[in-house]
Amino acid sequence: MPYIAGVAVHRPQPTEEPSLEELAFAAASAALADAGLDREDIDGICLGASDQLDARAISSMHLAGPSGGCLRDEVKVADDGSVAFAAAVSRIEAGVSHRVLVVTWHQPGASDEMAALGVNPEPIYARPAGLHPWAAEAMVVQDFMRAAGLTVDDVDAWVAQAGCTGAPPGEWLAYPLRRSHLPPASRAAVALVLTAAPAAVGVRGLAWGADAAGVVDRGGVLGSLPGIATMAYRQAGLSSPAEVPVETTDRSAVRRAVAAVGLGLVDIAKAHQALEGGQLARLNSSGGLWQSNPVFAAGPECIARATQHVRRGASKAVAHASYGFAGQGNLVTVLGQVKSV
Amino acid sequence: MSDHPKRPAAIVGAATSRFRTRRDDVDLTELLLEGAVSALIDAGMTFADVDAVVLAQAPDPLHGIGHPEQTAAAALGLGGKPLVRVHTGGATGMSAGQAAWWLVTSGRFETVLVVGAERMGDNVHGAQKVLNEIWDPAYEALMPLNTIANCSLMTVRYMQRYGADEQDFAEIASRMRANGARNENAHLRIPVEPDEVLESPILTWPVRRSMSCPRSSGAAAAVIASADVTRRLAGPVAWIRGMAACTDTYFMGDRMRLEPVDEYIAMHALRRAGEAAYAMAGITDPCSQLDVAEPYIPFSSYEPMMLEALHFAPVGQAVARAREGAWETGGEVVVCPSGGVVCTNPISVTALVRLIEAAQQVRGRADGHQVDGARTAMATGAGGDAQIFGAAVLSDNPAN
Amino acid sequence: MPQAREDERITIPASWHLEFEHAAGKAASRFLTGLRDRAQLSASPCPKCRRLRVPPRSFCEVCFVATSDDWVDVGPEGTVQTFSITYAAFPGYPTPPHAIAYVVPDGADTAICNFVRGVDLSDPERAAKVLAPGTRVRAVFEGDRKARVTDFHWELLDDKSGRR
Repeated sequence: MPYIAGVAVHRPQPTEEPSLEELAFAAASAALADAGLDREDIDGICLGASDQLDARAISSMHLAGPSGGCLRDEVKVADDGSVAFAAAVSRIEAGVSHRVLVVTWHQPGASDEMAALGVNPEPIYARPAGLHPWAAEAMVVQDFMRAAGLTVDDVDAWVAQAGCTGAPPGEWLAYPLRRSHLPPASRAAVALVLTAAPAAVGVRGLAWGADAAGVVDRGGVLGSLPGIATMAYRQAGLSSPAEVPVETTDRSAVRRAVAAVGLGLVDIAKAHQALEGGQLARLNSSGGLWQSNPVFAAGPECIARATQHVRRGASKAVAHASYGFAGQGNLVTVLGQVKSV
Repeated sequence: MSDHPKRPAAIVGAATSRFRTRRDDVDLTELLLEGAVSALIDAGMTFADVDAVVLAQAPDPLHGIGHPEQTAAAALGLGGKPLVRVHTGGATGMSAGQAAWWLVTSGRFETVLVVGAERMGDNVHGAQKVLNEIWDPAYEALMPLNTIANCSLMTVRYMQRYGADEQDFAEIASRMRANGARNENAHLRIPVEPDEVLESPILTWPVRRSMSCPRSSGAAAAVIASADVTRRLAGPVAWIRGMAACTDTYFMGDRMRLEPVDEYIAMHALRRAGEAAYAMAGITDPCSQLDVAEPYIPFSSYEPMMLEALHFAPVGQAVARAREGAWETGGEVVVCPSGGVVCTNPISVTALVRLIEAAQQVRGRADGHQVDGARTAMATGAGGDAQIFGAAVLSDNPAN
Repeated sequence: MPQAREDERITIPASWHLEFEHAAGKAASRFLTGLRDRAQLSASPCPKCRRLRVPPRSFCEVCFVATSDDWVDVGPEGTVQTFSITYAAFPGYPTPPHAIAYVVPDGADTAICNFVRGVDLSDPERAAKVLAPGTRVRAVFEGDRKARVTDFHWELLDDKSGRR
């Protein structure tokens, strides 16, 4: 079992305008300091980044060094920041690496996010037919809302009390998604130090996987999420996920409810609890992506938050990242306390 | 320093397309399937046997689909199985192989498919415009840097320091092309004489067109499996004895000096990746212990620098050794019997093709370009501005 | 009604319309404004290894600490480390031929790349001798500077041969 020995979420001051490199360096060096390690101690780097969001053609060329990778064994994955965490876990479990830095980041304004996402759908059938990723997200969300008996009013009410954006509630992105249903992107870099040697927080369970991009090809509104969650819980011996802190990437407001059901916190008939203030208090107690949304790095930030829950006394905590095209990808990890350290 | 993994793993099946400039008969997902299905058939397995997939895809603008792992998930029948898409520029295929190796050697997965496809023929203007975008936006994007210019920057220094010349590079290119003629999957299969190489147009001096890789499209895939799985299979396997990677600073100017210290043509990151893979595999004398090498050499003038970094020859000696036939059948180590990257460069998967070529040699499956008696082989991947390197050692034997 | 051709192949044209604004960051902003406002190259020191890097960085990748603020003016003269001359016409690039060189400015520990102007590039082998590693050059600043690295270029110190 690998351990999480260091975490850092670096958020620059509003007046600073760091380069991506400066952002990554700040997070990586803070995570090393948190772990009590030097760069000299690191033998592996796993980066998670999207060239289109970073506005670079091979972003790891410039970001490897700032992430601690100079003359190190470094790899970049592009599915999501959370998948870089999965790669790091595997290389430690393989016995090949012993202390791995995972680094991910987001800098809004580097590129227009809507345009950057717009090149993802394949060009023969999807892009020409207007299937932008947010349009697809709207379809998935609509299917879930229908199955769960949720209305746009329910979502609007939750967004209003979650204390968010200031975007006028009337403006549609793609029905039933309003612009106001999306947490605004924020600038941050997230770094984690994973070790083979014991630390206070252990990675007790991990599972991840991808469904088809096609929103009608996923075998149900939840896709593979329940199965992935079950796999992670079984590895960790977690039988009641509703009783532990859970941090999830609520990339659009309804995703909170999708996660609540898909992660086994509530039955779909009770999905509305996820959109009612005061219910499901252990779900995104941090505020979720409404508190901080570094997009590609949001999953690792959820892992950082789960780590903090365990450090502050929770025996276990769950982190979930939903990613890819209209949330086709899911990663669930269960972190646990390590008593004898 | 990377350590030896706890559990051995092997390449149990592999396949590549016959590479060409464009593939108008298939789209990206069909091309991926072509590679995946062929490799699984070669392994005697089906998609149901696959526990996880690693996708090797390099810069998206080359083929025009952003985050192709999103589109590929359905084509590869994942249905919730784990997927990891690796992207390290030109080194992608080797990095993807390494990630797949971690997934198996971690004990979480028994069988992992690593697959990728390149469709750079779809890019209307050619690769270099895209590859111009890899430079740092603040300092170097305004320079006419591309991977060809990058090669000539290093070549010029090597020439000055060690006395190599265009004739040497032309002879290396000619040798690669002659090898490609024997490989039915290579893109460029027509041999060229050194004179013809020297008559081809100069791209960036002294790199000429016929010293350079083509723009290729096609797929490649390999199946990596645990020792338990190999016991159930009938065909020959290539044990992964060591894999390691090393990334240098992006800033080429940081790697340059006139003095020996920090000399960037010494290719420190490649050297370290090679040394780490050799150490895992128990290779202490590469020339005597390795039968075949498939290094990622995209322009012929890189060969001497890379062979020296990989300890096949002392620094400055690789060209002299080449003239003695050291890198051909009957010499010390057969280098790129497939024709190498100079004959075939489908960027997303080129480094995976290097790994597959080494595996096929060890498995005795390299057909017309098989090196007789090959039992241990190595391969490398290279990406960025000669920045990101991966190395692997394969053999027909699971242990040192 | 025309018969459909089974073997007809369709191609779909597409292009990416992506515009970017890159935050140059603290170090690059200081360096680039130094080019514009002072017509001067500068280098950042690492407090641990003392390496003076140009172009400057906010941190040293090797020692993994922030560089210090006491930057050092370097150049304008320097020594060529290597060069490249492009003869092929790549789309989106300046019309060939053009030459670039990595040069270590006097006082710095690393090299920085820029165009070399004023060299006859019509004969590559002759140009290669003129630009050979070890050649001395000078940074020449443009009249109208915009806080871009192209606010300067290299020229040979000696018009005839490039050597002092």
